[in-house]
Amino acid sequence: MDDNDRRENQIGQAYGDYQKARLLYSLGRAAMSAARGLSLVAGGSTAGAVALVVVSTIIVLIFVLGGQGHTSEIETTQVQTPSQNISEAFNVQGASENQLREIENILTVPLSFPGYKKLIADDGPIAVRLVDNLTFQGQVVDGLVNNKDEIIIRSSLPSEKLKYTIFHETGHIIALRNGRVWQSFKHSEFVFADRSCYSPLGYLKTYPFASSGGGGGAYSESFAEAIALFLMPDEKQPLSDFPRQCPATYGWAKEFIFK
Amino acid sequence: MKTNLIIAVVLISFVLLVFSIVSIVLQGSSEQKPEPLVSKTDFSKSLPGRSTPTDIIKINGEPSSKEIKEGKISFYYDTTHPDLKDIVVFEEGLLVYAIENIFDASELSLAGVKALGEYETYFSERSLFSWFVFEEKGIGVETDGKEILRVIYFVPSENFLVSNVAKELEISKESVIPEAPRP
Repeated sequence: MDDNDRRENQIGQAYGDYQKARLLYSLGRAAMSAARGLSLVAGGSTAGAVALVVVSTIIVLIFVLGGQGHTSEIETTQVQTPSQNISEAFNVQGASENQLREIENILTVPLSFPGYKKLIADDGPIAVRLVDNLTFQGQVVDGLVNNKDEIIIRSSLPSEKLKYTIFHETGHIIALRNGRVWQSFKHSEFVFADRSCYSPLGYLKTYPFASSGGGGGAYSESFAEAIALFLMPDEKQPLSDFPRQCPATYGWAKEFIFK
Repeated sequence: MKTNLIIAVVLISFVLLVFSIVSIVLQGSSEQKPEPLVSKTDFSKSLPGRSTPTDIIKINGEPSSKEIKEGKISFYYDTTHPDLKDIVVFEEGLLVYAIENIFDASELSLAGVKALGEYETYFSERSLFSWFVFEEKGIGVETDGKEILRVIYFVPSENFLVSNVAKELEISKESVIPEAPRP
């Protein structure tokens, strides 16, 4: 989703909010009129006062609960894109000028979250090394993590794949550098709660090897994949609405990584 | 007078009820703090090479599940994490090793453990993290370098690498990120 699409969504959302507010206001006004009418009919008697209080309380309920619904609807976090200096956390090697710029733009997104930045950068910078040929046991792979200080990426990746691979591999780095956060990932609970999001082998369905397994195992790969999906919540099929399709997994990422 | 009193009581009760409902709704929808992870066992009092299943049950209660395989009995104790269990393994009726998950630094800190003395660093095929093993003390800790994630109690050994424990946990001296690479 590009910037224009995001702006359109924001405008649409604001208009929807305005319409909701108008409806609540109309309901409130109608309730107040009814209360006034009731108290007039009752001739200002006790019954009228009762009616006024009851209806006023209902108005409060409508506004409060309506407002609460509004709040929870916008709880799904929009990915932030302010400018970030990535050199504190990442040291890119083997990249051309264009590739470097592209990777900087990509990494700016997660680094805008203080929680993510702390988890990834507290133990020193991570080398992001681009190589022409990246294979493992004879198979071409897009990215590797061999230790907690280095990511290796195949240099010829198209933009979307590059973005996804970087996000996913930084997820592995976060695990390796933060054992407590690793422990926080209740994999089998998420597989049960968000069962439509996971393959029979327990991998998030967007993971390239979700059907066949592999990589670091279902737990490890789902950990990293959840982090990538949080940053690309509407871009990866079949989980193109990650927050709503996989609320438990999304909630974990929001609470433990991207706070 | 009596009627007005009744009406007033009903009114106040209604208003209180409504605001209680509102409070509950607001509380429920606000961010809920995640439950802290807890391990309910304590294997620090176990004696590798001497403790029996009965001894372990006396301290920690019945395990959630048991397994008998190739002459070994394994006890599995649930923690509040659905995927992480505490494990005790017996051979010929005696404790060989016990692994306990550590979820909080207050239970066991890396600084505290390092005070035990010299240790060797090992890696496991089954773990992302390294193990600091105090071979003569019969204690090892799995760590990300900052915190302890698991502790293992085993029969002290001069050469841990060739012990049954090390073989079972697929421990080696080589740095191995399990099932590397991570695509």
